[in-house]
Amino acid sequence: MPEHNDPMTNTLDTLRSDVERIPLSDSLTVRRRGDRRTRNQAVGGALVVVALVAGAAGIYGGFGGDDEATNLPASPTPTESPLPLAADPLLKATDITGLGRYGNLPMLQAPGTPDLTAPPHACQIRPTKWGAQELQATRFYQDGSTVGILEVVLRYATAEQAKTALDQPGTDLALCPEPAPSEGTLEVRPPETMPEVSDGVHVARYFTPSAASEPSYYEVAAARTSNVVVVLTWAADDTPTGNPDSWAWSGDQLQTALDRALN
Amino acid sequence: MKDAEGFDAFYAAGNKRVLHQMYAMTGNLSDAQELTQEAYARAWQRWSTVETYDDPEAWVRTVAWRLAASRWRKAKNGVAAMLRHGPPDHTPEPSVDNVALVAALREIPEAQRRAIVLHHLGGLSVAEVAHEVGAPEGTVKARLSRGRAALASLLADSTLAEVSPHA
Repeated sequence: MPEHNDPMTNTLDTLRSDVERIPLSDSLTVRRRGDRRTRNQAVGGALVVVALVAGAAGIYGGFGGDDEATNLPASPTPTESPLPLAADPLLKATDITGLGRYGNLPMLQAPGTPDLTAPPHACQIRPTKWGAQELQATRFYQDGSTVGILEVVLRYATAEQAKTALDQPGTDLALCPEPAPSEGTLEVRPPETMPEVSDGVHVARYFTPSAASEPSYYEVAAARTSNVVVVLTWAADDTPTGNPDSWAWSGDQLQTALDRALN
Repeated sequence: MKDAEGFDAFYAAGNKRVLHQMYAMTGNLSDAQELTQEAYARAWQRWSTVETYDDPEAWVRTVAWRLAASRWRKAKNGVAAMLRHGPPDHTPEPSVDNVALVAALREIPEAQRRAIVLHHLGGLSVAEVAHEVGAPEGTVKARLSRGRAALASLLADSTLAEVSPHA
């Protein structure tokens, strides 16, 4: 039992009533299970040798299994080794906070996988060209507002590759085509680091039309943990606060996205 | 020669605690039972080394967590099978009192859930949680804060968000 006592501990402690219903094997059975694993691994190891000699790698898969879980150092320490994505690595609509004046409408998640192909002259990011090994994405929107949010989770082979991906939002927006003077003006806010999250960066652009149509604000924020990068884009007629010097995305929101993306 | 008596005492002292934590982490009694027993079986395999660690139970807990994470990844492929065949039989359900809590825990991100379980159920300090999960202390504090706020919202219990992490 933990020594401290607080409402969260007390709440979690209520699960004990379920746990008490579940029997666990006695220690002799657990030891036998461990011994059986050891014997199977010995057989599996021998089969690996045979498989390699025969050029038939892959037999081992049925015998070893999950041993990365056991290969722990005595004291786990922070690592830059490649990480897998979580089973469900994308944000949920309820995770998105800090919507400011857009916060009075529910955020909805669009069904299906979004099309990430940007039109050639669109001033948008192009994450499918950022060289990731795996990419997952989802879109969020509101009924009744101009807000559109895209989340992209990218997994790279190495942390170094992921680090270079953080330059891509700025690179993509720097290539935005200049609008014709008759259309309006485009201002790109250069990339800024986000000190409140590790390896975080955001960049944005304002488009102010010359005609009496709506202006638009588009922001891209990205953060990285090891070989995994999360990207959030915000597209609306303005920032959440309405202040042109503010940003739509916070380090806190990116950290939540990283938490979802990783186990 | 491995010390069977020492292992038996270690298992008896901590197995329900690990089971409880894995239940909070997975929200599934069958999974928690299986992961706990598998992690202890692996501890026995290398008991002569594990028993020398400062905190062998932390090793078991981390192995159980990694096994769970590995299974979640593989479960992506299992969802289609479950839709075809239905859920497995005889899966123990949470008691009526705990249905909402289990559902809320499943809703929050895994990293936040793990931090909350280790800190509030395992009794680990923020520094110990940071050490166990391999993250900076600031990140762990942020995960605890966000996780508590999310659970408070999901359970409509504002007292859960007001807790400050202990050192």
